[in-house]
Amino acid sequence: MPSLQSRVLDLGLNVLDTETTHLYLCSQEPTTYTEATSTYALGNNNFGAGGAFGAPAARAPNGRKVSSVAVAAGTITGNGTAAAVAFTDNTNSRLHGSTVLNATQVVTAGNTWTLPSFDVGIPAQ
Amino acid sequence: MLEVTRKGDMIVLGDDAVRIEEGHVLKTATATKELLDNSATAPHYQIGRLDALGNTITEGQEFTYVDYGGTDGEAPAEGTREFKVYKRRELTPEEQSETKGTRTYVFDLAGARKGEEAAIDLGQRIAAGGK
Repeated sequence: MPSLQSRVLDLGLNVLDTETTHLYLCSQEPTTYTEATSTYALGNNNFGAGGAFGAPAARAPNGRKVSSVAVAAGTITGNGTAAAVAFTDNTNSRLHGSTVLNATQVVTAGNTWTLPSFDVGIPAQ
Repeated sequence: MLEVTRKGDMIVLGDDAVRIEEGHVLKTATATKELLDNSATAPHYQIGRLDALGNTITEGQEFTYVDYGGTDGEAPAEGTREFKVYKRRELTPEEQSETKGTRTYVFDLAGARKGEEAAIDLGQRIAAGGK
């Protein structure tokens, strides 16, 4: 299988760095923008474009990655059990990706939520 | 017939009454070593971890996964996609109260089709009050 150099990987990861505006807390793993931001949404954190992820950096053991900015006080907008986090571009109505939580968490509207930083990477081969 | 427009990757019918988006298919199956292998499903579907609905995956029991396909092996499985149709529903006053006023409507999944044209047809029927 061919290997890929950093420039190729970074052009993909730059979308997360520059275009992702929100992280959404979801009741299940979303497969579309509408599911992430409405159907299964339980909360969100608006970072603004360029604020949700850092710049691409080296990934171990190979490839490149970006790291999310930790959520300090996201808004809970519904009652339910959170199971996944989605990253979206609300300016252009696009789902960029999602990750399943390590454990579910019951949430209540009006409260806030937090999330540590996590990495999203692409291997070089 | 409602007007069909596009916004990003989304197809919108009328004044955002119905949305259509292409996404991976959600599937339910028995959790086996073969299906949980990274050649068949995404690496995060493993025994003891959460499935797509937030339930813990137990070998021999049903679990739900997003069919992204496989990542490893000589011939990883291909993922499957479909066009999903969502209908906008205004929240009741009680539901709005539960959200502390942060939301006034939600898009409910109303159906799915393999092709875009079939999904638009379904969306038009749903917007007209049919199924």
